[in-house]
Amino acid sequence: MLNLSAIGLLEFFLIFFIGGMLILVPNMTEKTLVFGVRVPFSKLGLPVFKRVKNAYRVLMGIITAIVAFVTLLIPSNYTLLVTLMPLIVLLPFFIVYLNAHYAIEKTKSESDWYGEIPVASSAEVTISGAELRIWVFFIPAVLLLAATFVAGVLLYPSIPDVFPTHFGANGVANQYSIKSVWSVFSLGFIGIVINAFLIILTYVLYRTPLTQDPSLTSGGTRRRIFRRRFVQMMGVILASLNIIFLIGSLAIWELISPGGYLLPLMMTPLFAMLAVITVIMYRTGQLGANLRIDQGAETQQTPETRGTGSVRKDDDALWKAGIIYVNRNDSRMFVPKRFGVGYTMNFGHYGSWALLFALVAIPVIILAVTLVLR
Amino acid sequence: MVDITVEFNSKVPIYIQIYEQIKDLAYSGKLKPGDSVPSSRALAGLLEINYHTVNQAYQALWKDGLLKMERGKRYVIAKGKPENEVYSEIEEEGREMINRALMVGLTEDEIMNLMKRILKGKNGGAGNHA
Repeated sequence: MLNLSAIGLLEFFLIFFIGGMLILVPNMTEKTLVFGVRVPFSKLGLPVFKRVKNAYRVLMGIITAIVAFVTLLIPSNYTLLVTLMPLIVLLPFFIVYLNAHYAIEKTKSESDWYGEIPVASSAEVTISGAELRIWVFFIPAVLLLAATFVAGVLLYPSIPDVFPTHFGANGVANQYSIKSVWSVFSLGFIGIVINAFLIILTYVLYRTPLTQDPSLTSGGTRRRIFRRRFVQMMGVILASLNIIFLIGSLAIWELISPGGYLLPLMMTPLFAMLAVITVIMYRTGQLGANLRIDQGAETQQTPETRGTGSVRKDDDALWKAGIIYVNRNDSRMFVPKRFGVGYTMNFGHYGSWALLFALVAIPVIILAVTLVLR
Repeated sequence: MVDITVEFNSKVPIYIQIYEQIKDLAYSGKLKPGDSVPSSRALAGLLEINYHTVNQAYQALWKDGLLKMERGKRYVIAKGKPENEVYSEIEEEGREMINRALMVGLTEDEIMNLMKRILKGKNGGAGNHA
């Protein structure tokens, strides 16, 4: 018998969402990157790409469906397993990606695609669109976080000395805390840390200089629009997180008691955010690849008919498996992803390792301190 | 858009390609005096070339007075297009224009009047078509 639980259903939709997103990724990358392999513009019409892309979509679809339904069948008392399913599912997804990546790489190594084509590399000297006022995009998010604190200050006198701070999936409180500024505003303080981190990260990513495949048209315009949409996306992500912090705070202060609807109530902004950013990502494409600019020029298939006639120098050697960037000579800590929209870390940069270490160490330290204080 | 592109199959050495492009960016006003250029390491990383090559280009630009060192560590654009070069360019364009005017049969006086009218229109705001 199907044993449907609220969390199981949520994970079911989340897995479908991740799977669907990954099926769309090959249509969002830079035009001359196919499954993390650099391809000269004039070779993009080869039938092998279509074949590999179709196989990838079918495999990804089947696996998504299987894993999603398996998640529904997991008995509801295995909560941890159900919760981790969207992470576990990444492994088969990764294998499907690798399969496609190596198929393209094999074809590339067997043919001399770069034989007679002149190569070039192109980079920004100044940031396209550097005039954007980034903070404007974070106003809604910051107002929501401020609302949480205002509500907390107003409600503080009426919060009992012992109040619930954790709820089970059924919406029944299963953990209580003693009233203090720290416990009452716990979600708000976590919110401040996450907001500060993401806003600083957005500034850094925005100021990161980008390179350009000289065979692609309107690079500067595409990059400028991509940067603005990226900041927009970060604003949406942060706003939705802050709505979740606000709802969570109102629940522990018992201003709202949605019972079993608490989890769905908190997940709604998350799903709405995922839907909005998927639309933005798909319409923009990595570095603006999907923007409808210069479509006439895009359809001219030979690199000889475009500006310099050169294609981007093959940079596959800098990427492990087409997605992990390791380049000591690149002073950037973040670079645009090859398979996806957004940025990834440069693992040849000390800062990336320091950031990874901090991201792992800080939760571990907080956990250790709370355990000791108990 | 302010990009630098280096062609690896070109006969022109890469450092000269960089030299010429930064000179063009400064002369065209896309980079203004005081604007900084990326460090040689950063630009070399982006272009996937040796940083000595970028250094060589920057040194040459510095020697020719197009770049200057700020606070002893980073290069900034020193100047835009030199005035005498702008002057000779305008002179050249003016000569072409006057030759064309003479060819279509305008007299010297007519050309002078035309010039005066254009200048007046420029100073007086809205175009004067009288």
